[in-house]
Amino acid sequence: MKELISSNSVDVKSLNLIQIILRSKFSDNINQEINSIFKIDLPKENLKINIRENIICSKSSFDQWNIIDLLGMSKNIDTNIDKLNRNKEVLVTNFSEGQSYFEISGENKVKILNKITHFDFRKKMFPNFTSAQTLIARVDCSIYNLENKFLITCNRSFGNYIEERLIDAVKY
Amino acid sequence: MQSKDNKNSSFILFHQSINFFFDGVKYKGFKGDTIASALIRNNINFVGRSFKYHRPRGIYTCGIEEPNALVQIISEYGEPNTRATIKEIYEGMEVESQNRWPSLDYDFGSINSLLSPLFTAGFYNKTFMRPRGFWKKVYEPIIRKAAGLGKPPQPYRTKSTHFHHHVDVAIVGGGLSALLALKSFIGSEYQVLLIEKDSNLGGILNNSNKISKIFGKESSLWLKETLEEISTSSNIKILTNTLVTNYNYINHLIAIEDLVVGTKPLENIPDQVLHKIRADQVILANGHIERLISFRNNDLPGVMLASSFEKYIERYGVIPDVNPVIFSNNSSTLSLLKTLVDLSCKPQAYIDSRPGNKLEKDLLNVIHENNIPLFTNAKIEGCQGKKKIEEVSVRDSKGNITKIKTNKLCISGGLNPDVHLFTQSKGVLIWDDQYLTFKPDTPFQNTIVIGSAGGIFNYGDLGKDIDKKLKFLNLKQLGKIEFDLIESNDFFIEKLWEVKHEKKSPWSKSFIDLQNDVTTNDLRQGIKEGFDRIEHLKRFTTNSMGTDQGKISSINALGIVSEILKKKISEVGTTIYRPPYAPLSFSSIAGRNTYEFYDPERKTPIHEWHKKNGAVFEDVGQWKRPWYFESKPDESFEEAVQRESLHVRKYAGVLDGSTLGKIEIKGRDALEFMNLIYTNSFSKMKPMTARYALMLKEDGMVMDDGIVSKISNEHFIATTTTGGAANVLSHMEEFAQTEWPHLNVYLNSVTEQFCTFNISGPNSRSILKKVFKDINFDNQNFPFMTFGNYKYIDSKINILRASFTGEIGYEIYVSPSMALALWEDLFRFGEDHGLIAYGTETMHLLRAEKGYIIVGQDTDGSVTPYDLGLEWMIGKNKEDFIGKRSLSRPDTIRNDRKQLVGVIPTDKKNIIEEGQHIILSRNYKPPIKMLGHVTSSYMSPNLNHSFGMAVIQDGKKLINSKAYISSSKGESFEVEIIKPIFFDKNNERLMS
Amino acid sequence: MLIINCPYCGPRDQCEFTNGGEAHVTRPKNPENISDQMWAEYVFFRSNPKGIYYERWVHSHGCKKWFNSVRDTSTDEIIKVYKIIDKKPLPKEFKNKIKTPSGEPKVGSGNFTVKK
Repeated sequence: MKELISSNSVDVKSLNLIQIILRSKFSDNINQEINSIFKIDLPKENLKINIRENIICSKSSFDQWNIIDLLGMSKNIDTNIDKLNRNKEVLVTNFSEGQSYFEISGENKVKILNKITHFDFRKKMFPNFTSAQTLIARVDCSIYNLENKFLITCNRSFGNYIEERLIDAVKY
Repeated sequence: MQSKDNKNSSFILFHQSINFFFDGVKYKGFKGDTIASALIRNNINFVGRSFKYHRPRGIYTCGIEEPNALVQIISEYGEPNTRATIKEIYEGMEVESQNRWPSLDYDFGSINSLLSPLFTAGFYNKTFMRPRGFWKKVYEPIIRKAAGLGKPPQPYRTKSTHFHHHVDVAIVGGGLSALLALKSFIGSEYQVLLIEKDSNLGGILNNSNKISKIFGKESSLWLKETLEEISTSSNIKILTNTLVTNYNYINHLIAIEDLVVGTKPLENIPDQVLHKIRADQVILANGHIERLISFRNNDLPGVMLASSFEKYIERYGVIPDVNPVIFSNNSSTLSLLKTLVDLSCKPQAYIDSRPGNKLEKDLLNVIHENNIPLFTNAKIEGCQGKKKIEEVSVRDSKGNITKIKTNKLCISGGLNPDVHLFTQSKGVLIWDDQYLTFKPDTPFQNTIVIGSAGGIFNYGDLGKDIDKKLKFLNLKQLGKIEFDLIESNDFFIEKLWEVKHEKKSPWSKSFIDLQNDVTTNDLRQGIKEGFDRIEHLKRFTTNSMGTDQGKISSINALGIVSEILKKKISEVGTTIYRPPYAPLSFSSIAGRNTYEFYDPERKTPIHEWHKKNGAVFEDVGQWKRPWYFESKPDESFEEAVQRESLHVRKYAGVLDGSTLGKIEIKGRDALEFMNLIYTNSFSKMKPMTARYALMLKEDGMVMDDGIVSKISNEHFIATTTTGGAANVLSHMEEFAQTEWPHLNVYLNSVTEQFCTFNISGPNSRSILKKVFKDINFDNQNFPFMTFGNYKYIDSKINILRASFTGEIGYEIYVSPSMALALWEDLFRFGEDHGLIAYGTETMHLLRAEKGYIIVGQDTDGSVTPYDLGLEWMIGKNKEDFIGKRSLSRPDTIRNDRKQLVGVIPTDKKNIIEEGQHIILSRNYKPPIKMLGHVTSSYMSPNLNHSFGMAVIQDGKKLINSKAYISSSKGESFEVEIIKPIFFDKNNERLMS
Repeated sequence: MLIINCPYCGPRDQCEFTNGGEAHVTRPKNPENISDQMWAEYVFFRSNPKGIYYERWVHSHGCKKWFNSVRDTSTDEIIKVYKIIDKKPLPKEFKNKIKTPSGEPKVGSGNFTVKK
């Protein structure tokens, strides 16, 4: 966890998390398997986030779920992924290291983000515990609304650029 | 002319004086003054020269619609065409007038004025044609120097930012109507954003004396209380110093905020914010603009619009002249008259073109009480003077001329609702016969127009109008509003576009567009020459094409044109109003997306190692890839590439291939999907093997290539080119979602989940044996195009035996967190075996020596697999795959298609270059038949001569014959056409 | 800058989407058995009407899903958005202001400013 900038009533950190992406149709079977590993249910409603302690699970579209460990503590991820992949009809991939993770919190978090993205953060468009995929500073990102903070993820190769854009948005 | 301060204005801080410079001379103004108001205070009215004729020009208005007073601020970075009527002064500001040399007073260009009869409408299209040779050497350089109004600005780095808003209601304008509407929103559930271009809200309440009381309260008190009420309502946000310039579809506004009003912009502080506003409902309350009247010499310094004169008095605390002459065709000028009289200034004369019996009682009372000379049913025929007005001529209804000595003439030709934004929103206008102007009629988007912007000029109707239009929002109603007015409740105007002038001299002019020097005669001439459609006439005369977009005169032009054509004005129509409403700087449009943020930079996980070890980078799309490595400080690009290429074939080299796309494909129907996407058949492929695969578009042309590794029939990993990664994934998703949604197959991009290291060379095997002691790399155990899963420390890795260089090679896939450790291990064990890092240029050279194509380099979207000699990659028994049917189209089966070959120079000293054309003979008589061109070429240290890959017509048949390369540098030289493979033609090294 | 209502993510700015050309262009079932002309029509030919147009979009900077839309090309108004698997809506199902081909809409094309 690295503190990037804290000023102007906004706080930006960069993190190292664990993430897996599940591509599959919803089935009780696959839900049970996920539950047995992460103790969390797959949300059925699109864009919704289920949260249990440090694990969040969000549905990003009709056949994709993202599961993120906010403390980066989960063990045996690769073994679990191999187990899940034994099902021929699903694709589970470890996305932990290929993404950069940022946490932005504070009263002015929306104000700062409004400088670098067109995304509509109003409560009625982006309720608590929902997720979205959009462009931030012209880079494809996923945002997770965790009530008092947002988690932003993007491809790792853009990580440096997004970090600098976030710091710049707070400064100017 | 004598100006006088009006200390009643609360917007000017008279105790805070400011020094500024205009054309090198120091003047004093006050905090809150614009350049224009400060110059007027100092009795300076001559501020520029006009565009074509270089006629002296003065300050005409008091706002954004200013056509003449355009200056350059040289104490900043010299932004040209700054409106002196908008820009506030600060201590030490240096301002320069434009379009004159050597000085404003003695301008060489004023000779244009003498030649003006030649510069009539359309002269741009008719002159400078002959002699033909003169254009490049004589005309163009002169015109370029004379073009434009100001000088180009200096380079300047700003920190403009952007800001995105999402609101329920956006209100454009912060004047009387907007504030009335805003009162209804207080305490409501709507999130409202109000955008006002001035520093203060109030509009007409600040800029004029027209409204003395609202609901029985002094208007300034009403304004103060209203603003306090609004500030307590948390759902209302206000932006000042912000001008809306664009109204896009769908309900998207662009507005530019000036953060440095009255201060000097500094390089590291943001000076502008570009606001992008998305609103469910837009309310336009942006008011009206006064228009001029055309008459002889109506451009002389000293002519000013009447409401602007009043705005200087009320808003900027300066009376430009204590005894002006007023000329009007409507009832709005009463408030100016009353204001002057209340300040003990007596106008020299009041000229009204309307008949005496139609004039307002209040107007007649003021005139009689103050003994002001009144001319009714009369017009200003023209003005005379050298660099300012000295005298005006009044013509009465009988044609008699009276001359009045004066330096100031206030004119009012009527009021136009400001319809720019409304028409930008694609709404349509309608002509109002009573107020003689266009007003908004049918909106296209969720637009409401209130107040004078909507054509409401009757104060009594204002409250009702706002209530009716906002009714659907279920807000508090305003009801009837009580106004105590200094002007008439209902606006009354009589038509007057132009006054006929007395003199028939070709040098006296009656102007319609001041900024572009377009006269009313130009309009007549244009129509005579056949340009009777308003869009054509506009471009022929350049009317309304200046930076002010003819805001104070374009409706007049339509009026004049309609009279000449004897058509109704609504039939003549208007030209399309184009955004932006006012000039937008490029720096504000770019925002922070410039310089180091211009394009997102993508870096691989071991980027820092490359930097520390002498890598020189190249841009491959958004990625930074090492192009070559400098082994010593003065090693050139050519030397480095030759050294690396030789070394890899002799010892070993490793390339960071992490940027290449990797896609994971899995599902019950993955095999069927892969067979449809690629030309190859993957059905009989053994698990844990890999294959070079080709992908076509439906037109049969090669789209991308890569290596497909089969884990099982339900699980594949495909690589793509760096540049093609995103396209290939979209292409696959498109077909999976839209064409074959019944197939159970999922795709995931894993480009970023692994780092890829490509190690190749005769020593690569021995190096890997040392790094991975537990893996058997012998040829029989680890054959070419097979892969396996292994461990490196505790982390999962894959190793695939494949090579793009034609040497023994392996691709190692490792997770980013372990990448640097593994890379450094490779070097630790590889040092003794001569391992070096090599870059993309060497990679290109080595693969070319083996004749391997690069999609996008040797192909260009018009090349089939047959053209490339890759028919062996097409699955023989496949019924269908994307592009298969196109391989038997007439165009793809014709026998003169360009095919891939190799070319080597006969004389080994000659160098082949990319892009050179290949010709059959040295017979240079045109037309010379071009057989094709060189797609890749390199100087090979392994062959000791230059070589190239080329696509030429009937290439396969021409193998082993000779041709010529057409060289742009001199004699074309002979080449031999061979099969496209140059080194290790039997692939012995690759398979060992 | 249009607002496009992605059936999965909701209304988003146009910059998140990529246009995918004409919709309902079906890939022939047996490409080997059709004439060169019919195949060329599938690969190269697309219609270009003024007025009601069925087209595809992909939410390339969002959920990456494809969907269809009906747009009036004379005013750029997106009249309806529907999923790839949904049935194609018929012209009579929505209040179309102008009939294809040609004809100028009463308002919204931006080609003229004064009411006709």
